[in-house]
Amino acid sequence: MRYKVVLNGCSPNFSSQCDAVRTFLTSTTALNREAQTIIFYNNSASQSKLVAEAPTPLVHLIKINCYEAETVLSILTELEKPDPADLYLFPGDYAGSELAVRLACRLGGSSLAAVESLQPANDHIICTKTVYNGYMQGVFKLRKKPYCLSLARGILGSRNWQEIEEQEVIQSDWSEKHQPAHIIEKSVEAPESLNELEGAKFVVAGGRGIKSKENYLKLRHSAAILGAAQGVSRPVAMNGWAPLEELIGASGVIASPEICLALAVSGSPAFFSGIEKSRRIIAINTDPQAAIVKNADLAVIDDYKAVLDKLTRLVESDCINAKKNHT
Amino acid sequence: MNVLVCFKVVPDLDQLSGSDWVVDGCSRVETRFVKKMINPYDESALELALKMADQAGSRARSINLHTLTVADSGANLTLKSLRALGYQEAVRIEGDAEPDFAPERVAALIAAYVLSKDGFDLIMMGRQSGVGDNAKTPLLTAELLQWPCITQVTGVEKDTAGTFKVTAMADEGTVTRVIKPPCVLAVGNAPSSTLRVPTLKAIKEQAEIPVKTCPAAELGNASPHLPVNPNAELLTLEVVNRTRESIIIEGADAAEKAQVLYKSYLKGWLAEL
Ligand SMILES: Cc1cc2nc3c(=O)[nH]c(=O)nc-3n(C[C@H](O)[C@H](O)[C@H](O)COP(=O)(O)OP(=O)(O)OC[C@H]3O[C@@H](n4cnc5c(N)ncnc54)[C@H](O)[C@@H]3O)c2cc1C
Ligand SMILES: Nc1ncnc2c1ncn2[C@@H]1O[C@H](COP(=O)(O)O)[C@@H](O)[C@H]1O
Repeated sequence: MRYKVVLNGCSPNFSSQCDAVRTFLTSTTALNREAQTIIFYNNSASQSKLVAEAPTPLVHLIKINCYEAETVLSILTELEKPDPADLYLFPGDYAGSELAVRLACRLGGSSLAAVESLQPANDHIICTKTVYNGYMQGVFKLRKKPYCLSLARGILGSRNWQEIEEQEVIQSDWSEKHQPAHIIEKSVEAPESLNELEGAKFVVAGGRGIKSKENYLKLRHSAAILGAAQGVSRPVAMNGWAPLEELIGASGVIASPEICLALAVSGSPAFFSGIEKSRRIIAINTDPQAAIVKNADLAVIDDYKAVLDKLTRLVESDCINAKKNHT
Repeated sequence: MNVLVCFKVVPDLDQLSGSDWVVDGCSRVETRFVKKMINPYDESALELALKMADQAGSRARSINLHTLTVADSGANLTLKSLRALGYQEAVRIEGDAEPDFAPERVAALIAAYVLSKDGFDLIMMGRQSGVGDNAKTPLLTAELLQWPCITQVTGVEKDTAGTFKVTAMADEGTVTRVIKPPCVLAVGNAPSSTLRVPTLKAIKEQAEIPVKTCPAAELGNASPHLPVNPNAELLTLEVVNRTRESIIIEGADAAEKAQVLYKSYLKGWLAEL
């Protein structure tokens, strides 16, 4: 099966795109090596770094003016004619999940978003992805080539990949291609800092049970004392109690800390998928029947405030004692 | 300016308990009797459109709001309450097969409806909906209509020049675009976009006026794209098991439980970090 991996080299998340694709490819047998990675980029200085991280030996670097889905789609469509592929793989970020579906439409193929696994066969492929808001896993059959798939978010690998020896690089320049006609003006505001939730070793996640913005601010304070990054469930972010960057889950950050303290969250799969990669999960919830209790390593059935208050006091007093002993 | 917002009424799956997750012979879970809600992203899309209309004011009704769903009559109450909120037209496309796992079909119907009306400037949808978690319909609709599309939209305003200012999340940060219509907007995590509640008076006024329906079969002539089969066929379903050891920490009160949690577990774990 000839396949192309399509990556967005204009985006600061390029390394995680590569990492997700490499992890996915490692777990997907029966894909032969007749593959190429197409990387769209706009900064010539980054070329060698982009190539070094690419998941296949053959790399096609395509220079564009700036990333716009419409631009990238028209280039991919033009490239398909002289050089067709059976399968297109896109990472599960915002760009990838949009491109996969739209490209399949343009090429008369089939698409599936947020794919977790792939099994190629002669005249079809079998893929899995979660459905029913994350409660169920569905097995899907796609028949029409080219198959255009975006990967599930949160496919995380080791980041310590061996460099591929003997890479072959093709270059082309499409930077003259005009900006899509519907855009009159465009500005990008990059986030001020990297989202600390993504790499955090300890995360405190608060849910709707915290009940108010005031309590959220108190929770944040406690999290800081514990040395944890703050995350929240969707209702907390949507109510405007917490900033959106702190949203954890299917539509937010996928965190993978050593310890996650989940407070006053029910543990709906759309939230849980954001903490599933935690090594240890501790739930504090008043309801022993809440899903989060069964899905945690440890659970405290009680009011989160009372438990957290005591916990922070214990940590603080340990810190004070440690300092005393030190001096 | 004419704005169409497409929404779907979905079961609130968080209401199902463990034993309700039974797969039937057609690879589906019975959700007919579960409480329904507007898909959260669609709720945001509906509210963003109302906010945009508020902001544009009553200048000769400068924004016409129109809403559409592909559903059975279960969606009628929602359509009426959307009319009560200010949607001038609220239409249900009926008579089609189950739309949950058929985003190609839903998109084709929406595109055909748009072509049959002519004159929409913006189509707003949610980025993803349950039960299928497809995340495809707005993208497919844009492709069928050959309109551009912006995903992960968090805000939209109408400018005086007949253009729109659209804010969206992207992998590289927050992107703001001033665009010329037409365009499809797929709404993502838009903060503070809980749908407003209609007044009782407005609900009463709408209660007796029947919902406009449009038979799916009638749309066949409007679009070259119908009928369309889903291009990913759902074969089987399985419950995802996420359970862990779930050791319950015992104690006389919250303070004692916190003490056990800290001394027996957390302290050691924190030391490992
Ligand atoms: C398409 C889609 C995408 C979604 N994406 C996400 C996502 O990315 N992230 C996300 O979080 N959600 C997401 N959701 C929403 C998700 O389905 C749930 O509705 C949401 O996660 C519930 O949040 P919660 O657990 O905070 O609130 P609830 O379900 O209301 O749970 C509150 C919990 O707090 C407990 N509690 C109350 N008071 C206390 C107290 N004093 N002490 C201790 N415990 C207490 C209660 O027992 C309860 O278990 C999505 C939904 C859809 C449909
Ligand atoms: N049956 C439907 N009727 C109207 N709009 C729909 C329907 N299904 C999906 N949509 C729209 O398409 C978006 C994405 O849905 P999906 O592709 O199913 O994940 C939803 O948020 C809705 O805005």
